[in-house]
Amino acid sequence: MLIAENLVRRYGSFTAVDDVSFNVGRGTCFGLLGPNGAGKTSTIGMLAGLVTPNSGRVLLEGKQLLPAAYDVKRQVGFVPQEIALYDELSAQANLEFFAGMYGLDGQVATSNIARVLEIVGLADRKKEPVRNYSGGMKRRLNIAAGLVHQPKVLILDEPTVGVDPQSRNAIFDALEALQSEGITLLYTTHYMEEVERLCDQIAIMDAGKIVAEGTKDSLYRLLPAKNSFALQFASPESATLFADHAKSNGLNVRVSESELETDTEDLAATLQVVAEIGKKIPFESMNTHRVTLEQVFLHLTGKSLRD
Amino acid sequence: MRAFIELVRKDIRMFLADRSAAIIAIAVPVGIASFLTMVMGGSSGSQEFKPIGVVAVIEDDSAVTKTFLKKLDNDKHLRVEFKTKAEAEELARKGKTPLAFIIHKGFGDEALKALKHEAARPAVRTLTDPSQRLAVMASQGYIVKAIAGGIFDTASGESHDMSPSGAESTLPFTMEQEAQEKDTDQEVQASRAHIFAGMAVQGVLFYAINVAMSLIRDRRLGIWKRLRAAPVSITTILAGRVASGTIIGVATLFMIFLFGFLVMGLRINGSIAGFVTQCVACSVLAASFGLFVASIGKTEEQSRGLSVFVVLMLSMLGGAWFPSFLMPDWMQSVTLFVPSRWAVDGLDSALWRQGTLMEVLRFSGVTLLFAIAFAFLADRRIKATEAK
Repeated sequence: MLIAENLVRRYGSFTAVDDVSFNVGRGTCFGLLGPNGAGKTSTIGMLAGLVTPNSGRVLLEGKQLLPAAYDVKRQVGFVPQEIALYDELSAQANLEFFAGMYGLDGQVATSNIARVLEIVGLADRKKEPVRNYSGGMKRRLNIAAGLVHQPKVLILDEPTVGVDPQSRNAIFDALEALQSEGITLLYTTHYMEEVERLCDQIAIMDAGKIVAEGTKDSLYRLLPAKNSFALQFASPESATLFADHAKSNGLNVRVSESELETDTEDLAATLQVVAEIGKKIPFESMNTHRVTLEQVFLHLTGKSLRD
Repeated sequence: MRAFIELVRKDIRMFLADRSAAIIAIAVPVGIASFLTMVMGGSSGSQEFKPIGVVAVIEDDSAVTKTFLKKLDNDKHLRVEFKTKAEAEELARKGKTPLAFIIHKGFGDEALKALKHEAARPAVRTLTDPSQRLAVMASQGYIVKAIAGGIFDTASGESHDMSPSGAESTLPFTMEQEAQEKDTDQEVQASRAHIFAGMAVQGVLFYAINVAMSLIRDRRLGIWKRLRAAPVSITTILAGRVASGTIIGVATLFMIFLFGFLVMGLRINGSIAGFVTQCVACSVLAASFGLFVASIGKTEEQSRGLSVFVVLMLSMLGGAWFPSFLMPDWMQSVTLFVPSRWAVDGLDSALWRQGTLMEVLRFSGVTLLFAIAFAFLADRRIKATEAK
């Protein structure tokens, strides 16, 4: 449905987006994951028709999206990273304004506004000035403003920045509801937990390029191990001694202070070895977890997503 | 079109949502104008004189007239231009000269007879611009001195050193100011009207800073991105700003002048349609100027400081603080390139210079040309920035 084809965007001598291509299917949630400065915002700037690419093109249902392609732009909703609302105006007045920007008025605008206010759970506060809203409510209204013209594709640029966990969950619920209605979502973030929860398809960006793309499972498979676990010891010496024994039993381990970490594909066999060594060198606690996209990113780029 | 209307409606809603700011936008120019009106009363202008340009209508060719014209020519305080009576009346009405005087045919002979108490004293008729009271008073003094000197020199062949003040009652001629009582009222009217015109223009220019700030704020808040993502051109977005700025500017001017009419006794002595047109032109100018400031400013703080300075300079050079005719000649020439000069002069023309619709439209036209230039430059600059 939405195709990014060899997108390049330069600012002077700096190449922010370097030959980026991907294909977003109808009704899917596509996550663009990467650290700050990876080129996500420039990429979605081109996808939203804000920025003209130096080369490459964006196609929406086969039609090219450019800053002046108004008929194509009407099918795209955009939620910027900033809370792009007028604080002095009510939610209703803000939505009327943004609906008007897409040429909607009268009954169509009224019903669309009522609908999006219901989706983001702000129908009962629509008359209040936005300045009275909490940060989470503003974020939800920010999403509503991108939806008010009923776009086929909604592009969200880090829509949960600075939001408390409760509001974040409310936003996720709203986005999942939209997805169930068949709206295609394109979601950028540097929070891998959000992408893991929401997105069917994920592209990982770094330094202007896509370093990996696929479903969550296909990305996890890029790592040599599916699971990892950590052991806590009473002292760093115990951890180091345990690590020596573990290595001699074929485990790949890392020691940091009093903690030992290891990744494994065969969790049961590894636990058996750990239990054996633990009889001689006791540890205080142990926890296991699945590998994350954070680890995938670390594996692919050698950097942390939050760098 | 729907987007354009919505852009205008939103800006007016924003203006009205911040009621205290809206009240301040009107109250500040009203307050300053009222204060200046009360402090300065019917007078206007400064005490300092450069050569005052006066107009002479000479219908007499007697020796007396020739002698005093020589004296006037040598007087460094005056610069005399010779015109017909009709031209002189027009120049005085338009405020192009503070004073025009008429020496009727036979004046010299009548004055010489009056000196010998053989005839009544002839009158020198003067036409004055009521807004330039100090210039009128000063130039009248120098003219009286020169005419008296001319009469006495001719009568006795000797030079008399006469003080212009206090001597008039013994002089063999009188100075007759046309419709004296009416002029006193006109002076007050003119002074008040000029102060209100100046402060009103300054007021809408200060409002223009809000137009600039709101655009820069839209960029900071990401609203600009949202607008750019919408199927709306940059030109439409900017035109919406100009339209809303114009509506708010006209409303602000309406409130300022309504106060002036109801409380300070202002009147529109010229064309009412011209006055309305000039108010619209001033508001378009202010809104376009605001866009231009927004197009060159990067941050709100930087732009606010710069625009306050520019607005103060525009107000001063445009004659909002004091009439432009009190400025040195070179500065008066420079201010022809200052848009606020045309804005203030246009309001002056409609309010108290008895400007006809066509006369006021000349000022409105130039004011609008400046507005178009500002809007064009803003549009080009913002588009260039977007393309980077």
